[in-house]
Amino acid sequence: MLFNSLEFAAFASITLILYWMLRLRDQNVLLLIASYLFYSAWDWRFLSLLIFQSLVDYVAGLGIGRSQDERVRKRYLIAAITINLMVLATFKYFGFFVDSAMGLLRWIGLEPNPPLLEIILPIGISFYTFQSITYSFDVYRRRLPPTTSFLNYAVFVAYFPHMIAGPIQRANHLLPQIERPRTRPTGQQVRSGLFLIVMGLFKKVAIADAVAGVANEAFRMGSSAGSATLLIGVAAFSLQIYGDFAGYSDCARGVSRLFGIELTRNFEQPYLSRNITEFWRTWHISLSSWLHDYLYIPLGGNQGGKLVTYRNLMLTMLLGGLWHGASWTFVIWGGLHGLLLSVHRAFGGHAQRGRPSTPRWRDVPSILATFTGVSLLWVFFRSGTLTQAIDYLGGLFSFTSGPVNSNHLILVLVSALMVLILDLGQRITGDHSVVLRWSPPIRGAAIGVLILSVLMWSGGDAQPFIYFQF
Amino acid sequence: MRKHTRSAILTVASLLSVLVGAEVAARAWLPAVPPDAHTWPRAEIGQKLEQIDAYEERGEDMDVLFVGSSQMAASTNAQLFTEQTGLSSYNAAFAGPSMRTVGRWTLDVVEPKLSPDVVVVGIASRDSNDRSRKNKKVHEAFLSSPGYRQETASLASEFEGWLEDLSVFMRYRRLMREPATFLERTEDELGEQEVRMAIGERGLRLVEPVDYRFRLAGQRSLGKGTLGNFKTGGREYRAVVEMHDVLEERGVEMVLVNMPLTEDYLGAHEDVVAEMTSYRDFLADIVAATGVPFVDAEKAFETPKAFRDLLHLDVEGRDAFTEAFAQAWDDISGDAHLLMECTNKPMPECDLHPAP
Repeated sequence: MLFNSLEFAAFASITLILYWMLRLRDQNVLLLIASYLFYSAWDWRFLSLLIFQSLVDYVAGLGIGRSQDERVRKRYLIAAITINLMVLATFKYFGFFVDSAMGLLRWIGLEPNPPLLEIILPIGISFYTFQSITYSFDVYRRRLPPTTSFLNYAVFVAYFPHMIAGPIQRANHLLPQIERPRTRPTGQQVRSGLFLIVMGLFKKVAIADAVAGVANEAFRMGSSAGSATLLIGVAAFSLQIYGDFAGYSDCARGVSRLFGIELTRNFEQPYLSRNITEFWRTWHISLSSWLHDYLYIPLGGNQGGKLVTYRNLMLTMLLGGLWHGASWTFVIWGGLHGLLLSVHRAFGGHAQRGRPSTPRWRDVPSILATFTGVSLLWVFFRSGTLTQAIDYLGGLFSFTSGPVNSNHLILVLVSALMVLILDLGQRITGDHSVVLRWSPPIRGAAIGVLILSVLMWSGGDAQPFIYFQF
Repeated sequence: MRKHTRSAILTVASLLSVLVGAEVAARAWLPAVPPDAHTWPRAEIGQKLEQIDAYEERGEDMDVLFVGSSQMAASTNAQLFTEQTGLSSYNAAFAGPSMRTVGRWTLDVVEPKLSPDVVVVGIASRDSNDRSRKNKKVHEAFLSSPGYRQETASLASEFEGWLEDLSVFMRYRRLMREPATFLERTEDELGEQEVRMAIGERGLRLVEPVDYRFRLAGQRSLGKGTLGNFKTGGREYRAVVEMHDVLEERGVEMVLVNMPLTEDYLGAHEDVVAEMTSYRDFLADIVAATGVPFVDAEKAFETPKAFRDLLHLDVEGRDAFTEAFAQAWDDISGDAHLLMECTNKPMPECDLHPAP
């Protein structure tokens, strides 16, 4: 059941109507039933795994919260994190570890014959596992009292607007909202929630899906295509993954707002970043801040000298890459980002805290350079294998000529222009729903154009979101 | 009127004016196209479906249904077959599909509407290539087409179909997604003339006879397209077996026909010996797995005189092929394995007899 499908529209509408007819406890019961139904629509077989993990963290949270003995508290924390990571390792990384170990053994001349296991990846497991870990950590650090209600905790883990692909919510942000009574959203909240949904669908359908075919074609052809085609392909994928993921996040926030629950922002116009550090403060914010708070800082952050800082950056980004998928292409993608972050820091670079400022004309070269670097690294992210990535980059830098599909070129240019307009508008005003502040005729026309674009690219089977595979 | 209400009305009015404006512009700029013209990847499918729906509405079931790609569409005259056998028949074959698409079209759309007793499936090596990118593309286009989605009747696809019937903008939106190509097209190209073809009763393609002419470009296109990267089996194999199994469950018999080809067609194979051997093994496996009657007409014609092009019979060849089929119809049952042989002098004549 995809956000960009009529089935989801019907499901969310019915749930929403029932939701606002109920009292708080019943609202949470409904949310849990709806969330489990939503998850079962993907694959009911893993519902028991989701409930099991919820139960483990709930019990661990109670254990941590009730004990004053630091050793006992730590044991509960370690047990919860170990179980979560073991589940993740088994379902997501088992095949990768086995394949890598076998490759290594073959390299040293052995011929291993391991058992073959085809393990299916439960959808959303990386997201809800990381979210569960924040709960155990936050209770352990006494930032959050443990919840005594399993119902509330289960809703926190499985809350359907964001459980499949985030944004990853901190326990101390989302859990209190689930526990306290909710008031009906105001007219303004309803309007902004609906607008976020329309904007999310626009980004997903009219930007990401529109250029998906361009990227698919280029990556399918690889070095057999001319450099210009590959350049258009990599630009298309940069736009696709942004539109796809930011579109999902907007829809999730919009739907959730209608339920009276605020989710955190996941993107702050990342392609307007002036350097790689700023990019990571504005791209997939819920993951990058999770990695910062729960990995980089515990590793020592920047408190151990320059070399330790670079090591911590590299480790954090390597694991961040691996979080995306069990493949060396993701590890290399993360590692290269870690390298760029370290180099940027080594040269004294930094990014300002808080919301990035409006770019000026003099920032254009650095914005273009950052976008180019990020886009080139997307080649590793998008390629199925390392060989394919190298082949693609080889073809890109071979500077060979070849026919260019003018349809593809137009689609990429139009999509890039739309992203630029949307992001500049948001950055200048600091408002993701700035359209709602415009005068009614202009507001209506702008929303009309967004809906028209969605209609134009709609139809056929709804395309799944890229981050669903993680 | 309260400020909020007025603001909401103005917003909605402005929003609607954009949508209506797009529709008005589409109607003014684009030619009037029948609602079905872009509902299917090929207009031929929509046209045949109109006929099939009409038969269904009149309650006219078919005794025999012919399915397959353009080879079957061009090579079988269902009108003639019906005249000669007294059995009602319909040729539902259309250009482009391989077996996986033929399977979906037959099982999901045509068979439920026409309730035939026998389905005759025409096949050639191009239909068996599991690795053909063109076959994959055709199949995806078929499955994602509004027509197929409407026929398989999910609520969402019915809604989409209703919108496309209502709106020219919605109907043309797929074409507009290729802006450069779209802007280059003329109105005639976008309109009915280009996409619809002449089709008579019982799905008969109405074409004028032409002399066979070898075209190197056509052979190359076939070699690179559907015959490229040749490997039989996989999805194409499973599609035929599934078609048989489902038809059998529904009480329908299936007949498999290896369609007539020219030597020039065979020349489009990169490694003709190995690939055609693989294809014949593919057919043998299907016959062994399903036990269907099998008619081998691949080498029926010694010269290309009876063909229009590499793989499509011309009018006279088509009628000779159909007559042979009609005359031997009673023998095509059980585990029969029949061979077709034809002569070209002075007019094509064909004969079906048991294979040695």
